[in-house]
Amino acid sequence: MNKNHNENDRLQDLQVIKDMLQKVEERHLVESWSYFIWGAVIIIGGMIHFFTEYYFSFKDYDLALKVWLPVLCIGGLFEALGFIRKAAKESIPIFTKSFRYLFAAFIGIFIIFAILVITLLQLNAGHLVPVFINFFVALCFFGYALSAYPPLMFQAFVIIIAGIMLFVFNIPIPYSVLVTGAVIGGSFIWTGVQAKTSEVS
Amino acid sequence: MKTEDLYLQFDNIFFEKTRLSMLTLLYREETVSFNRFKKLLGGTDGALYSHLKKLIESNYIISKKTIMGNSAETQYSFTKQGKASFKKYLAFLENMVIENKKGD
Repeated sequence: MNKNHNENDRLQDLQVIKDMLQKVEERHLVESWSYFIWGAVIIIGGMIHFFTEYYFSFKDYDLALKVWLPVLCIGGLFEALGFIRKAAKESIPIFTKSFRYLFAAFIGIFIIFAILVITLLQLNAGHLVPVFINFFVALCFFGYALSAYPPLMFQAFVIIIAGIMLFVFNIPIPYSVLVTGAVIGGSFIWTGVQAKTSEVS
Repeated sequence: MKTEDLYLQFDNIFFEKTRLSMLTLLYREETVSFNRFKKLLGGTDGALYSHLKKLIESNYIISKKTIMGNSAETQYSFTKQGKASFKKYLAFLENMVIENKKGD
């Protein structure tokens, strides 16, 4: 029991708790280079999609399987590597309950994403896929911002605005794919710059 | 019950800056390795071990050795009782702030 701990000490306790939480609050879950790789593969994927559809009239499913599936695999692989390296560097155990939930959430989000894109393609609404992707990625950025790094709200809003523009001005495919790739890829690269800055500091 | 009386339910283990920081970090991250404590709190290995030992002896936290790559690492997490006490203490501090605001 403690009888000498007065009100000032308790206020100091609050300060200690606040300082500790601030220290660990704003942090990226992966190393900066994995954002750069995500950004680069998305922009390159958008360009490949644009040129193959524009010049060779590739079908939606072909493009999904031959362009976007490899993009997701490459990005996902490097993100996993970036996460493992970051965790090792900061001595954060990765086989904890919360990381298992995070991994399960990623899988769940990916399944929902794939089902919704396939549904849009089957309904002959392929022109809405880029708009949907913008909104979906913005949602993911919001989730990441709330759980780990609040400044990502900015990127989330930029992506939402891009999605609204594509919808309102009815930008046709493949131009909308090119814009989507540039906006989302650019957002990842900007996030990488923020992560790099915080790593350096 | 008076605030002072309520306060007596918490023991001395909480009222030390490093241990309070450790408990806060455990509350936020669930499982924390010794190296992460060292990275975030600084200090010598001996001092950190001594604080962790006190928390273990008071049954606030438990330690577990795990293999990370080529080396063994000790990881710490809350016991049920430890987490409940820490939550209670946070609620107590929150009440104290609210009472102070009412008094202003």
